[in-house]
Amino acid sequence: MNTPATPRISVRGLRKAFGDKQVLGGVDLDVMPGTSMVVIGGSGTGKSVLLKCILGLVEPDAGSIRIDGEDLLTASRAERARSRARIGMLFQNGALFDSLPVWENVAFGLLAEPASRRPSRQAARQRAGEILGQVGLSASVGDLSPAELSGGMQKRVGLARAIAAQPDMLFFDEPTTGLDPIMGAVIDGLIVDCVKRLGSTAIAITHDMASATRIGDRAAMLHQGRIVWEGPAGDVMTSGNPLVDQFTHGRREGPIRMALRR
Amino acid sequence: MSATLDLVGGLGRGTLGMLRVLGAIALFAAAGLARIVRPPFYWRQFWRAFVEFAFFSLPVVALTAIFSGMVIALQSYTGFSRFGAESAIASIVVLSVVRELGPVLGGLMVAGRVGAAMAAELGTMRVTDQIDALGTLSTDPMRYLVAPRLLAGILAVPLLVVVADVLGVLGGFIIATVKLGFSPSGYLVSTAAFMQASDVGVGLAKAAVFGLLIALMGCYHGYNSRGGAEGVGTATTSAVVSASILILAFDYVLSEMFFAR
Repeated sequence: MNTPATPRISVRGLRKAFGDKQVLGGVDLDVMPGTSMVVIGGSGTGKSVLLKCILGLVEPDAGSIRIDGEDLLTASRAERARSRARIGMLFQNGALFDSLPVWENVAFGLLAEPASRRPSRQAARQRAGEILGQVGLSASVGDLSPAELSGGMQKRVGLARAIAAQPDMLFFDEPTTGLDPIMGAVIDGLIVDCVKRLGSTAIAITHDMASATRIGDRAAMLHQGRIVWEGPAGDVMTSGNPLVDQFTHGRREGPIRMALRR
Repeated sequence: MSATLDLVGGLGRGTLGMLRVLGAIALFAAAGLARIVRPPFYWRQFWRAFVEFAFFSLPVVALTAIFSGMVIALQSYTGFSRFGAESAIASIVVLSVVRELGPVLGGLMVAGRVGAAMAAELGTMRVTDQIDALGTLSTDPMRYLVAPRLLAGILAVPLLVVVADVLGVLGGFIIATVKLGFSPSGYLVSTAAFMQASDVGVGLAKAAVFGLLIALMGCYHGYNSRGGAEGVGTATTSAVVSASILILAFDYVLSEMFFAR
């Protein structure tokens, strides 16, 4: 039963190892409906694996992942698919299908609907043009192939694809990586607009502190497979947590480096 | 003693590793084939793969077939003329081409062309998160990427082999009539007399199996590639090598099944 106190996404004791390497060592994380959670942390700390576990792309070893109180890991395959269909994802490098034109990338989820709900290709193409407009691209971009787009445009198209089905959860994997600061700010602005317009619950993972404070309502830091701090995104630069302080201020000396030396 | 144990241990690990890979390939094949018969099926993806197999491989298969037929005619003449058995050349050419060379050489050429491209495409999709992206768009990657390619391989390679059979026989005919002085009508009569429908049928059945193997190896290695550009390169090489070996191995098994007396 979903009550105002029920998190939209709740992760408990999530563990995942690849061979001998324990990537997630018992992650606990709650994301309330309509809020944006930013997960920060160094490279290789398991941020992407956490998202992939929630998306069902990686099978966790232990723990629970609840969406609106329902545990995905014990649910039937159909229920899992239904829950996960509510999630839109922007991948780090866009992950656009390079064999398809831009409009078909954007409308891919619409064209994958069951036949009873699937729009005609012409209607899907028109809808793709409208969605491209929402991310600041003209409909004519739809005729290009992904290889003809700049990095910033690819991110916008990736965002358009993620929001095309109007999902009530949106995930962003390092949305500003590889972009110049201005384009990064533009993408962050689009993300905030889209999340607000759709009323979605969002999780973003990033290394970019400016991006984290722009996108997030709340922030959490993942370190050595565990959440070591969580609080308002506005407090991330002044958290008082030595791990977070060192990471957010980019200091060479500190507990993270010491942990690496061990 | 320790060296012996190490050797036995190494052999055991190698065997287990090989069995693990074979099991993974068998499960992958079963998952892909099951999605051919259970809807939905992605016909656009199928058509794209079919054209890649059947149309764009046509020149390379055609050239391979015609030159193979020419070489067989030439070499068999060299051997048979020593025993006065030149008249058997037409039968040797048609049986070799239809039973073995058409399917096997056609399969090997297609493995080098389409199998490699398939592994490279799926491998690139894997390392650039495109396969994960399919999963987030309510699309089963096995259904979208693998099943259409498996069906395309099964259907397209036999068509290519029909062309290879015709051109292989034509190659032999050209050499026999132009270079070796055979009568065109006599050569064609001999060819028709020795060619049986069952030979053609078994050759095409072999081709369907080879088409499946080519698509399976391309998809399996591409789908499971890891580690960026190097991983894609390794997947491509593995797809071609494994498909080539499997084509030759299955050719023996199928020949044993259908032709052994």
